[in-house]
Amino acid sequence: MEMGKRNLLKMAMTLVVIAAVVLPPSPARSEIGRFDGYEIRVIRPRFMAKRNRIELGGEGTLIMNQSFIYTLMMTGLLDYHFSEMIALEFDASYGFSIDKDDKRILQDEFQINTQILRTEYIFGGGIMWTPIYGKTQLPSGNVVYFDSFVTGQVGLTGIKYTYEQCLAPPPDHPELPDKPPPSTKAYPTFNVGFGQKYFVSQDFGFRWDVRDYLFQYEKGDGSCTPDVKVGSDVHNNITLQLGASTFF
Amino acid sequence: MRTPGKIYLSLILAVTLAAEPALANYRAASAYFARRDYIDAASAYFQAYGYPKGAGEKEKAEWGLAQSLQKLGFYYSASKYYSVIVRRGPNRSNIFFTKALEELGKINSTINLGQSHIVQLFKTKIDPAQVPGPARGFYFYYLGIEAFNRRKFEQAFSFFQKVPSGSPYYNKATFHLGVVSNLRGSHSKAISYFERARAGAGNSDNGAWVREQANLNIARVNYEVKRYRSAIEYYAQIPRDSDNWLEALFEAAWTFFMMQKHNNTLGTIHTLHSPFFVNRFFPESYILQAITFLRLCRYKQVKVSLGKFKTRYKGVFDDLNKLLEHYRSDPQKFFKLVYDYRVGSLNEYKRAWAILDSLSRTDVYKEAGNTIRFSDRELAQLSRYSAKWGSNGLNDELASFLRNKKTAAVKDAGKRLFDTASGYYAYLKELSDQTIGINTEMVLGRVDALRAQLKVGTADKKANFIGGLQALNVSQDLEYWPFEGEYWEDELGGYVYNIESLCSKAGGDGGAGGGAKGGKGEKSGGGEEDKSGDGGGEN
Repeated sequence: MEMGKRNLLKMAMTLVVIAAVVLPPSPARSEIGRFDGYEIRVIRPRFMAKRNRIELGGEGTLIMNQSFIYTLMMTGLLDYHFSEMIALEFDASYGFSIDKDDKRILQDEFQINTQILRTEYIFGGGIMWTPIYGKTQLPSGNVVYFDSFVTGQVGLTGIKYTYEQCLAPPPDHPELPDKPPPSTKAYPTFNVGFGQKYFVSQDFGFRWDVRDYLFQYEKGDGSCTPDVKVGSDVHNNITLQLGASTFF
Repeated sequence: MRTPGKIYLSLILAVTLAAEPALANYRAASAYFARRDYIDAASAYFQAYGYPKGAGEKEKAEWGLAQSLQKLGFYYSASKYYSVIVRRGPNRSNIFFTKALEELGKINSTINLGQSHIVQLFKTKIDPAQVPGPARGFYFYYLGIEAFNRRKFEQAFSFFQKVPSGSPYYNKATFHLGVVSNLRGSHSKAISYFERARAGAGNSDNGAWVREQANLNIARVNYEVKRYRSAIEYYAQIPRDSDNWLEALFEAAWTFFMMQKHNNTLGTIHTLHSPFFVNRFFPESYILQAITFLRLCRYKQVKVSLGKFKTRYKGVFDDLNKLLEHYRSDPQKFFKLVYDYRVGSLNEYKRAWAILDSLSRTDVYKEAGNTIRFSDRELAQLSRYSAKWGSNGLNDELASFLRNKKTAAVKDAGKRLFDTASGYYAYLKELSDQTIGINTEMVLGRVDALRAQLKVGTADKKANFIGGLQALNVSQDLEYWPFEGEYWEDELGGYVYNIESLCSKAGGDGGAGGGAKGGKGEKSGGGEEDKSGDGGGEN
């Protein structure tokens, strides 16, 4: 796991360096040929120019694909836009989980303790590609500009294990292993996502993201004997994120 | 037995008793004023004004009445009495002359008294040395305006120069100095005055007016001296929400034409012809469009433009003619017609609505509108004081004055608007004659001679422009939207055509011998004229 983390970190740093070298802020092209087949075009300075700007944002994040808990997180975002289409994004999420009624019923009525992967934090960095820039007209007649983007990132997901399903060894069997203390373990994560930003002004906009965070975890980490390896599995956290960001 | 002495004494007593109310009124009025009871003060002053006892009392009561009304917010009503004082001229007995002039200047800088009111005021010969400091700006500014309107430009210039720099009229005076300088042919001085006026314009409505007019006029002066790029730069500073925005666009279209930036010319006209501005009056834009196509040898499109002019303005012509016939001798009703259009209650003369729209945006209309609004406000206020002012006639006196003021403003504005409308009729007729002329020359095959007449202006290959009158900046990110027949409000002003000249092909299109069809996706050869290097970074 430690080797995996180190490799992941190395990979992330390499990506950053590559992006900085390969994607320098390039001068704008006037794109003479755009809609060249049309007799009349609108040509004007871009309303929402993101090139060489920093974006700072915040979102509320909900992990949607969990049967027994709700996980709510606060996400902070920091982006640097090299061009209108390419940006580097770093984000960090931290939150908590609440048990659903189903989990409590299973425990209280059927003595079934479900093993849950409680996501405590996620952070990562990667590339954002914005191929679509458009506008829409509201019923009021106001025009709102928007971006549609896709992202790919690497990072870490912190899973909190409470070991609530484990019991302390009875006093007459001290040889049995102790109930493990609660801990949070980090797993290298890869995510892909898509979303949109709606620009209220040239410095501020609302955004939504849907992301799929994939990570591989050791199945035994959540058991009462976490030191015993029993094999690994891949888990998806699918998130819906809603928030806003401001541009500098 | 009656003695002469007794009779004499009785007479004196009777006279004194009769005079007592007037004396008592003036003293009472002063007492009310000192206590800031301006309502009672006005009533008492009015009575003393009507029944003065002794020399000087009427003038004092007049001054007191004006002051009381001003304190109550009856600015127009106060100006009535201040004006009477000023019109008497500066003399020994008119002790309130300088103060009255100052107060009128203050009132006018708050609510416009109206050009005609002020002109009447200054018909009295006044020695400029007797004009008090705070009123000098007001005095010289309006003398300048009056001289300007009578086309006595040198006199106007000298009056405007006398407006002191601390006066609220200074900025506008500086602006007018620019106008006169331009008329004299001193273009750089004119620009310098306009720049100063613009720099000194504050954030008030007045300031915004001066700033916009200064920008427009700097653009026009630059156009006159063929500094077309600078002209475009100043036209671009007129804000989108201004009444002058479309005018700036139209004049910028002409500037692009002179620079031989045909795609920018046509793109700018495209905004003027959008459905958003169906009621705006820019008939000359069709002529400009036609001659631009003519320059590009696109003869079919020339005919289309001329045809559109005829379709759009034939009806306007007819309705305008009917309007002018109907309202020739009734300026008040003509003003009402424009007013009804503005408030949306007009259902007739629909084909001439573009004319009425243009008239409703003039300063003449707006000034009269303000006079009516302020007068109505004071008339409404009067009703609150009818209990105290009704019995002595003050209410009726002021109401009558305000109604007359409204009537005079409406009549004056109506006449000036009618003259403007008559000017539009002559203008439309002239443009119509031009379209007939162009059509005739084309039919007779004298296209080359026509095009030779259009060889005006200088191609500016270095300057390239995108939409919105913006110079192309190669480091700037641009956005492109194709126009597919649907107008978006946020795109207005941003259109640029993307067509080339067909003049290299024999006869252009639809002229003698056809030629390649220009338009969507088809580019013909280089063309004898500049390749319309514009929008899209063609350098």
